Amino acid sequence: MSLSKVITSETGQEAKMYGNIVFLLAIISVVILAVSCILIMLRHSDAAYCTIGGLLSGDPPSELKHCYSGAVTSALGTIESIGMTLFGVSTTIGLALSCIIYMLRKDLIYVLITLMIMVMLIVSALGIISINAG
Amino acid sequence: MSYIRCGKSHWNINELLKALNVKANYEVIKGKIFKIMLIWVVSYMTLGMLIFAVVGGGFLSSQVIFFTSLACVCVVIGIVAALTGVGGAVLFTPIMMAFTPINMDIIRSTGLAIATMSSLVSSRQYLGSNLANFRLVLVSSVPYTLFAIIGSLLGLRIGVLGSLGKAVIRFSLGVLVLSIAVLFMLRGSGAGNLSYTVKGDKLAGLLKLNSIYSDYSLNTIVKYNVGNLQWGLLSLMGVGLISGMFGLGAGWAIVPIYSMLMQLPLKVAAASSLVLIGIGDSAAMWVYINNGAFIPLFAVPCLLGIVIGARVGSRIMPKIKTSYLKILVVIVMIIAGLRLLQQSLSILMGWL
Repeated sequence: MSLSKVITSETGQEAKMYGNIVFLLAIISVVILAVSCILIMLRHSDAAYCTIGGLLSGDPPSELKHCYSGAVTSALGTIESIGMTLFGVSTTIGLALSCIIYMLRKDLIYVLITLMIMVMLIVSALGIISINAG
Repeated sequence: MSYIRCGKSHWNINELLKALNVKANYEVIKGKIFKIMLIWVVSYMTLGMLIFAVVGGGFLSSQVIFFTSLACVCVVIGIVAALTGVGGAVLFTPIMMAFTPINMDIIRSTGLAIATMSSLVSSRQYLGSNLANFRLVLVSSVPYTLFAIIGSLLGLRIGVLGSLGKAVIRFSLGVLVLSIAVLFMLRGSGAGNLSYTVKGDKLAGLLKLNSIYSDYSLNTIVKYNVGNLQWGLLSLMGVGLISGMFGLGAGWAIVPIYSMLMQLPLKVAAASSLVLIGIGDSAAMWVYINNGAFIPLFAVPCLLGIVIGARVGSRIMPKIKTSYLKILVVIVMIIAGLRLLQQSLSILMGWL
């Protein structure tokens, strides 16, 4: 059997799908984040300037939130949030698709394992357990 | 006319040589295009920086200078990380924490984002070629992710304690960075494990973790078994905790656990560790995102810089002697570690 045939038979569809989907989502999310950052720099340089000033003076994250004031800036902040969320949930989406494939194959152990990881990721994403960093 | 028989097909030698020549030319052209694009990017970045600094004035120029210099620093970190095999976040977090006044929660969340991004971008290649063992990654993700979340919660909790908490984190990170530097020095002299005939344990067999991969450099199919699974999973709990707490990618610890403790081939260990980091660190990153510690204006230039740097680094790797770079990385890590200890000890000694 040739090398490529062995690899094709051994590599699961779920692994390939996970790899492709997380790659795609990571790239899309970074593009969204980059576009929102450029828009903030060009359209609302005061917000960007305030953020940089805060960063360089060691301000905590709660102080930096005040830089994003005003309707347009907060709208750009929403675009940033979409990018951040997409970046954060990319692995969850990849795992959900892998879980579906395991379900179709009736591989119960891996359905349970992927579900366990997804629950942890979702709990973490929803901020159910959180610390007030001040 | 001469023909070569390959399976059922016959190839005309002249046509084959022509095709090979076209392929070789294509590779040369691709390399040249890459070089030209690299020069373009660097010159545009420099030109943009200069124009905004001279003409722009005011807020915009300082922003552009800030973001460009941040991206440039991260490109360098990415290149060095790729050339020396140390993770980008392992260099980024201690350097930023030791030499900049930026809040440590923001640095740690960005460090986790860098580790996650590097993983997500390269997972596709490793999973597609079966170099990363996806089943093993899923099994390892359970303890690693859980403890990465706990670690990030602990890290934020300690940070809330004020200057003392921050000093504790800096001190622990300093000790950790110095240990990684020592590990990095020792790893270079160690001989690789070439035999993978370890008897896999029952649990690994039950979970169908034993697998194969093709080593194209040796032109063979390597079959391997996973050993000491329970001890490996136990160790990953500690690694997850450290990764979440300090915002480091944990490849420096996962690879030795996979290759030495669980007896996996080094290539499989490295590829699987990279995929695992993506799952575990994205969970830990959420804790920081929910606390507002992920600042896109800071994270985006760093992410782009590290990714571009890593790609450039992997391209120039065959042409560069990395032994000097490895020494340089160890020196930088030792300096960053000592600086972190120096920053923290003054507060800790005063408190004691």
